[in-house]
Amino acid sequence: MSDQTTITDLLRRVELRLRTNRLLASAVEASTYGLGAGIVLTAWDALAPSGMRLGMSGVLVLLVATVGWCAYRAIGPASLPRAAVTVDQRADLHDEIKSAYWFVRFGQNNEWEQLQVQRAADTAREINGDRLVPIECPRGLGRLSGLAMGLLFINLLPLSGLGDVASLAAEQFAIEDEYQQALEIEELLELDEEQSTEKELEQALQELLLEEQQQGWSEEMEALLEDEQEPGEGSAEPEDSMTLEDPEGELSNPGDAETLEDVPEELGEAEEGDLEEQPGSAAQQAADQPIDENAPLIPAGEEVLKQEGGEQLDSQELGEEEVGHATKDPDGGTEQSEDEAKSLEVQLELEKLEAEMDELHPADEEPIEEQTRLEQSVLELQEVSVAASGSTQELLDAEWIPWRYRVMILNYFRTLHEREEREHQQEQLEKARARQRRER
Amino acid sequence: MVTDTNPIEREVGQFQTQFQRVQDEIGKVIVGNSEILEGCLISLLAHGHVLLEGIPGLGKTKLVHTLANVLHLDFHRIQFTPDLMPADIVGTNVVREKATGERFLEFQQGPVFANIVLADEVNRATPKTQSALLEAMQENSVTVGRTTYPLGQPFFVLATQNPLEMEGTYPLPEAQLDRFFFKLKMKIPDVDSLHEILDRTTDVEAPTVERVLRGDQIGDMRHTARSVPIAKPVQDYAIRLTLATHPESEYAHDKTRQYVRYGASPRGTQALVLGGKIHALLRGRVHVSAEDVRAIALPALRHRVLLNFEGEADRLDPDEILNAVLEDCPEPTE
Repeated sequence: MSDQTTITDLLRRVELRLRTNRLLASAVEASTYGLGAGIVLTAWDALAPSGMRLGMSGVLVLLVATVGWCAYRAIGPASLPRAAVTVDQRADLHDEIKSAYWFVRFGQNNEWEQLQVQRAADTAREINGDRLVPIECPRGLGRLSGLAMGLLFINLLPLSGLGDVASLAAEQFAIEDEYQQALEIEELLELDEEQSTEKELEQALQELLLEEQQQGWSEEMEALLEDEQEPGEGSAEPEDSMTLEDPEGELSNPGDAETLEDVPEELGEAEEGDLEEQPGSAAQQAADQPIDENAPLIPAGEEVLKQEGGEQLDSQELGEEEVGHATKDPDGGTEQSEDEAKSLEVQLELEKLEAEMDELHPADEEPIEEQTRLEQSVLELQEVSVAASGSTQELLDAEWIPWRYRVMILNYFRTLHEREEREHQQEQLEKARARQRRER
Repeated sequence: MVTDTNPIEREVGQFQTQFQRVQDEIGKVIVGNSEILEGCLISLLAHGHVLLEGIPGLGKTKLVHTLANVLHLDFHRIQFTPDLMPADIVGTNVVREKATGERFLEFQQGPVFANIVLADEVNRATPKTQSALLEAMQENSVTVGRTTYPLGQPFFVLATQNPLEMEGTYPLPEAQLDRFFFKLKMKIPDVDSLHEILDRTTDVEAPTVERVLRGDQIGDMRHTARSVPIAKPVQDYAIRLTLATHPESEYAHDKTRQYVRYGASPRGTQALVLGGKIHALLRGRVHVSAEDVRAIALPALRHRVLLNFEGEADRLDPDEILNAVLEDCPEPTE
């Protein structure tokens, strides 16, 4: 057998042993997971309702997964170089087999390499690959047996039927819940009915009141009319009775009588009209206006006032002055100044809001750029001023700094860094103080 | 079946024997420091030079002197001082007069013209003078005026640095440090070694050494060392170790990113591979393993890893970074 074949045979034997050990370890590992999952599935089947049991399907899936995993670990290209590494490590050969195998595959086949291969082959003949790499008992075997016992135990326990009991209890709970819900819905419906009945009653009452009011008005008006007509039936006016002067003849004017007689008709028209309409109500005007989303948020009363005095405000020259600081027009009326004051208040409120927002989101501070370690490690000796002469000066001008000065230089740079930090903190403090002063 | 008639086997055996003889012979004079000695020999056999660091009085000069004697090589010592000029190292043209009265220029070789040169306290000389020596180390030749003079082979420079007296010194720049194959650190001997040193050096008779190796034999050993093959996975490991010292590399270690300014150059990888080959030969192997690469990683890379300011301020030793890299860098698998 040639040296090359001897080495390759040894490596193949070792590789097969390694693969076997790997396969056993994978099988134990996969079985551990499978048994664990099996225990969980068994417990699930025992406790779950009948419709949700997995039965044998879950076990089958696990079995297939386990076999597949083991096959995956077992199948694969042989790695003889890795086997060579294992042989060298276990036999303490200082990379002899590995180097020889490499020379066999890729070497130049010179005398030195041939000698190395010869030596490695001699060593390989003395090595028993099976003894060097024995079949190992996989770790986790104890755990696996424990899980197997657990699975057996859980199968022996009388857990069947628990799932049905549980499902029955769940159904019972569900029925009770539905009953409760139905009761609540019924109550809500009754409540709705009551509320609607109440609304109708209110409406009817209001109508009645209105009718009564109108009746009362019409009776009064009739009484008035009667009172006025009584002096007219006497045809002759008493001379000494006081008479109202009516230079313009408004009272005796048939138009006036028509006007007064028209009042009940007007009242009746008003009765037919919308009871909610009350002309002259500011709130009603405000509610009727369309909503402007872009308009600033101000109270409704303010808005009405603003609308009334808005034209006057627009005509004022506010461009030259700051917003919110419009001065009173000395010639303007009190209403106009009140409007201005209100809008000024609104503007001031807005500015205050803006200032608060700025405080919450201050401008980003400039990042402090830190030098990388590499840059920090470069020493700029030329910038270090020192009163030195002679060999000391020559030394400091040299490219290298002697060991004994390193502590001094390190402290120097640390002091510089601390000073920079202090200055930065002071700047930040002064900025904060200036901001506070501006706010006051 | 491998037999001793195999020429490669004989070559390897001879290499091991000669190496061991040199070590044993030097061991008669120098006590301890076996790692330093092995490092110096590996550098010599790999065409490299050594930067030796240690406090005065540890026997650096004695070591190199003994090495020169054992190897039957010329040895010159240059004491570097701040006033040393390049001409004091490489030589200069001097005016000579013939018998006829005619004057001519004659090149006087400097102390660098030797097989083994000890450059003592190389950091005390000015950079101009240092560069003269470093050029000789790199080019194996010296240029004076317009003439280039080759240096004899083998040419081995052992430079020393005194870590204590750094005031008024000119430490070697990074580009020049990279030219050294190994950087070795000499440690203070322990109690037993000190006893041995005193017994040997304070007695009436001082130990002597014999010459066990010639210059041509060193050449053969160098050729043997370079013939050792290295598998691609092991070479890949050496490359990964080098790249792990670069902070911007994907293989960089966390400590590298934090403390290192520049990592090892390809010269460092060359040192790993060549040093690994010789280390493997010394163990009787004809292939390089990851273990061989790890064994010489520290001397090969410690002077090529430059610390940043943070590393120097924290007084970090490059060995700490390299040890972390060696621990975390995975060995080759395929």
